[in-house]
Amino acid sequence: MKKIILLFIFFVHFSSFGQATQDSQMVYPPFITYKNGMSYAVSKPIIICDSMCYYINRFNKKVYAEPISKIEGFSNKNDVRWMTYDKLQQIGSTPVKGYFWGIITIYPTGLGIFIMSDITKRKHIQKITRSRNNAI
Amino acid sequence: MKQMKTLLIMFSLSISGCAFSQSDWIMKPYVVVNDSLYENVKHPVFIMDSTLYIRTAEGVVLTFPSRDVNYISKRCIYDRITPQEQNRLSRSVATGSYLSIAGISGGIALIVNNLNQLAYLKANSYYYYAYSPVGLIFGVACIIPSSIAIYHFIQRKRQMKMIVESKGLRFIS
Repeated sequence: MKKIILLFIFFVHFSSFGQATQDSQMVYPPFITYKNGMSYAVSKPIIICDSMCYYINRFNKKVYAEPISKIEGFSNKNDVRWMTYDKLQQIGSTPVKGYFWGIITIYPTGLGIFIMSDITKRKHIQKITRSRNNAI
Repeated sequence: MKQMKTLLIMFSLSISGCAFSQSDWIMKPYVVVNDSLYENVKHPVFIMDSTLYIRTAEGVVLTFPSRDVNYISKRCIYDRITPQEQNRLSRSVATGSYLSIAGISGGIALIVNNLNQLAYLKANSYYYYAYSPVGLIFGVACIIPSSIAIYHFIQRKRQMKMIVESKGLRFIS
């Protein structure tokens, strides 16, 4: 009986979470805020290039490109990077390396965690660049 | 002879003090743009793409065309970011920061270890000849480049933040 009640509570909680609209959810940093007041959770980093702002939505993993004029700001715990068009293209076209050393150095030094963090961010930039190139 | 030495020291000190008071090192960082004075600006002050970026004491980022800049005080220690150097702004710093902090920690450990060794050898004067300052030198050699690297990482982050804020965007806490 206890198990059934627990299972019931879990299902009710799970289904209510699924019903909640994304807009009504609390947005935790890192996030981006539009001038119309909407905030969206994003994956690091956010790229600013040529008066456009590129970011990956943390929930649907899609790449969005918005003019800077529409953006109000970013959360403090964020990684916003301004970069030139050439640099963006360079990162987007260069293969990401370093997984081997990232995994090897996770234990015992912990260095691998930071290497993997850098690699993840670089992968995100690559995704943004590809999406941008496809859109053009 | 001793009086002469004292006199010489006093004379050189007074000259250096006079020179220091005449220079703008004594004043807080400031810039003069279009004959307007912007006092107490925060670091970093830099020029990129012929534009001067400054952050005022109130935390507001201001930009000016570099042709309008009349003077930048020495304490601003301004940086000129060339088009080639612009790419460094967008680099990740996580791994570099880790290595720098590890360098500083290792350097401190080496120095402390060496000083402990020195204290031990002093206590036992018989072994005093065995002291070698290699650990001390290596410790300092580890700390200085790591500290400079961290300083540059912080400056780079601040510069990036100023560039973003200069485009009308803000950081919400």
